[in-house]
Amino acid sequence: MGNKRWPAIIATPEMRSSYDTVIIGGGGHGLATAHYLAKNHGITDVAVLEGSWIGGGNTARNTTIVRSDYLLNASFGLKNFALKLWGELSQELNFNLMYEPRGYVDLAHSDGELEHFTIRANAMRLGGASVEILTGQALQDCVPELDLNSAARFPVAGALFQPAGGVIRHDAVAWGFARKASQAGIHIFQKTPVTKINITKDKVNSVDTPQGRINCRQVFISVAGASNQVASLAGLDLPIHSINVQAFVTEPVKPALKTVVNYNAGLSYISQTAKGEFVLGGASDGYNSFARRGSFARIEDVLARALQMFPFLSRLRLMRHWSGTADISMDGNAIIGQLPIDGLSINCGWGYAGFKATPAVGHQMAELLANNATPDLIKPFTYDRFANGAEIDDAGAGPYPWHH
Amino acid sequence: MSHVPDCRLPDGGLIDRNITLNFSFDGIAMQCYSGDTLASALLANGQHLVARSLKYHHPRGIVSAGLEEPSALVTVTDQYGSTPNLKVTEVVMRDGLTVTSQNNHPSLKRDYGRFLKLGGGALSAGFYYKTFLWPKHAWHKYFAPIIRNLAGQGRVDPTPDHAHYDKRRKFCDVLVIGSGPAGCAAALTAAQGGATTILIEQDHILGGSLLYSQDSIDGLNATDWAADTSEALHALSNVTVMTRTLAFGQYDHGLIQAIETGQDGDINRAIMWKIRARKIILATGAIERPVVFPGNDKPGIMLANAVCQYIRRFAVSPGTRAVVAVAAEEDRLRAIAAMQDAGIEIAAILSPGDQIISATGRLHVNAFTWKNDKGQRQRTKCDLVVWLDANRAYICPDGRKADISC
Ligand SMILES: Cc1cc2nc3c(=O)[nH]c(=O)nc-3n(C[C@H](O)[C@H](O)[C@H](O)COP(=O)(O)OP(=O)(O)OC[C@H]3O[C@@H](n4cnc5c(N)ncnc54)[C@H](O)[C@@H]3O)c2cc1C
Repeated sequence: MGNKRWPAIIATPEMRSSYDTVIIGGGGHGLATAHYLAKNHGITDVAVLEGSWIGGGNTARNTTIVRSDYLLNASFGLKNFALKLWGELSQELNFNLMYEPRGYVDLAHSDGELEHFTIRANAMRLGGASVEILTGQALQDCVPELDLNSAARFPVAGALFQPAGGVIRHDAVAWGFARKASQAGIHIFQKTPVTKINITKDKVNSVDTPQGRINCRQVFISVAGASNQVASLAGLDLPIHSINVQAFVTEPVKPALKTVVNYNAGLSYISQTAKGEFVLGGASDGYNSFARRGSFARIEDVLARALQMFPFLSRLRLMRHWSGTADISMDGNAIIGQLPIDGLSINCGWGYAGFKATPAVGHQMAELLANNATPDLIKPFTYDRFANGAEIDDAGAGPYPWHH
Repeated sequence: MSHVPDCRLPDGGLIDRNITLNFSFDGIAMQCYSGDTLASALLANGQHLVARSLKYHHPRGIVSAGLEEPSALVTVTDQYGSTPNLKVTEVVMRDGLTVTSQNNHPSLKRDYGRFLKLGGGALSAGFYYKTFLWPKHAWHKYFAPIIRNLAGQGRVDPTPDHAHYDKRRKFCDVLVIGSGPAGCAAALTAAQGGATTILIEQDHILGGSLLYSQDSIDGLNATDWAADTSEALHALSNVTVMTRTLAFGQYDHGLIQAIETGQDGDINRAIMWKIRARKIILATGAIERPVVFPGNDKPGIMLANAVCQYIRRFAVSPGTRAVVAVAAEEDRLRAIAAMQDAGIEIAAILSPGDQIISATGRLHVNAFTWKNDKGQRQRTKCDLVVWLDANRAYICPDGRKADISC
């Protein structure tokens, strides 16, 4: 049990002057792509360049929720594929990602909203997911801790329940993918920010880092909150806003909540970690910022809503709160695929919803990078969909990033 | 426990011996005085062992006298229901509290969770990632629920909370956080210069380190100066003094968030304050740095200024025979003087450069082992270790990296 002789999670190789493929960003998405490049395509002439440390971006700042309850085929398809992959990844990586499908409960607060949830549930069923609409006693049995009887301002009409939804240990995801990719021979460099992307005649040829230039055939950008900044190195202006999003945890207590529950009259969601802390999050702070420092107003707002679901929370105190820069596109969905520069591709726009998709993005992007052709699951997420009018707006919220 | 020893010193301290308060700890009736914190109340009753650590369920005692308390967390039940994970050092005593230890089964003294430790060395960092992996789904179905039940500290009261809480705002020219000598002097000076001033203190009285100091200011002894200054501040119309108020964060554009804890008779159990000030002065003092060595988490091992505080402010003797491992000379001399005044025997005083080997004892420290500068191994019996590091003055186990499970 001592685990005394653990080697370091990733190797520290000498940096070569040239790689076939450079992945910018050592978050979950970039590292998953590296893993699947090696595993599915045998491609290991790859460098992952991480500006700070592995998983230090949104990957280890998120609230660890995985689920696939999306209305539109494109968003559902990718996330449901991810759920299937999550179920197998601990064994595949030989690293316990602590996937706990405790069930995801999405609360509706009016009959109209519940009807809308039912449409979503039906769409999911058509896609092969298991999902239920719960009301009354059935909902109370599913979430015994939930206060359904109080005179709350927004009473609960019912819920969409996805049993396979749940939580996964987020930093384990980054380390698990990194370890496996490194074992396969892929080079991962931390503290190596890309400062320039060099392009000649509309074709990528190298990237610059403080450690030197790296020549390469293709570059994949997967930097979440820094997407605008890195894309601008290639002269691109993305339809993305960088918005502050917060999360926080209470002190640890004995198990008091099994499921993951989301409150929809203004956003507030909650789950309890294996360690006993309640993790809470909600809507974005609503303003553009790279500061990764949140406003207290949002914390109060999220907590007030959480208390309506679970009044007992008033006795607990927050231990930590933090924030991440969410990259939110004009339709609230990701932008994945090739860019109008030869050899350059991107994955961004996941905002505060991309953790769940991590293995699916990695799987699909690896296929794209290996075959130079866009696989079906990510085809709808093209960069040019905004010009073509083919938005994927699950929420129907319109072109306002902070509404998504 | 049949006999509860009385560790209260016969006189001294900023406690009101005319007002006796009753409370219970794990079902045992105890008494203390008005002015006590739960920490000093427990120590006065000889109760050092108050908790079990989160992961290995090691016995844990009271290390500090302030908010930095790392391990002495308990559940406190009052008229509002029960509240888990309160630091004993932050609970101001009032009559009728029911206090229970957490995270142990069946009891604090015999806790089965400690067997987690058996079967090998410590659970290293990353242990969970490599373990409980097979067979597929076993983590979720079998291991995670077990780990969840062992983890967590207290139990949250599931009933709705009927207490009132409020949110309020304040504005001022100068906000001073912390009411030690620096904070009190700053608030007084600002106010006398005409600034609207707020002084925030998390303790229930002003004074900070003055409350257990033997120093004098302006010819007055420290506690008298604190009392006089407190009176002077209260008398000024442009000063608002907020005790029992903890400033916990500064947000964009100088917004300070603070939480005021109500006392018996208040309508609100707590008030969340949002304070905006033109100038903010942090006068929050320092937190002592502990020394890292095997066994350093045993009950009876305490920070130097905490020991001074228990003796001087609360008139409680935290032990009978002490080993002193306090690197900073001033703090060392202060701690030794306080212990001598309390009649505590000094078993040994370590010099900076000595090599600490370990503290031993099952439920309470009973011996301390170290090597002196001549390389001689020393061991002495004790029931109190007073420690404080300064720039890693003590060499910890063999200069090797210590493998310490917690
Ligand atoms: C508070 C919060 C809560 C969230 N909750 C959830 C949730 O419950 N469920 C969910 O599915 N999603 C959630 N998300 C979203 C999710 O975290 C992200 O969508 C996802 O983790 C993005 O992964 P990534 O690998 O693309 O990004 P990251 O993990 O951010 O990785 C990008 C990396 O790129 C690096 N980088 C940046 N610039 C450079 C450069 N110039 N050179 C080299 N490297 C660079 C960064 O250092 C970073 O490590 C949440 C996000 C936040 C902020």
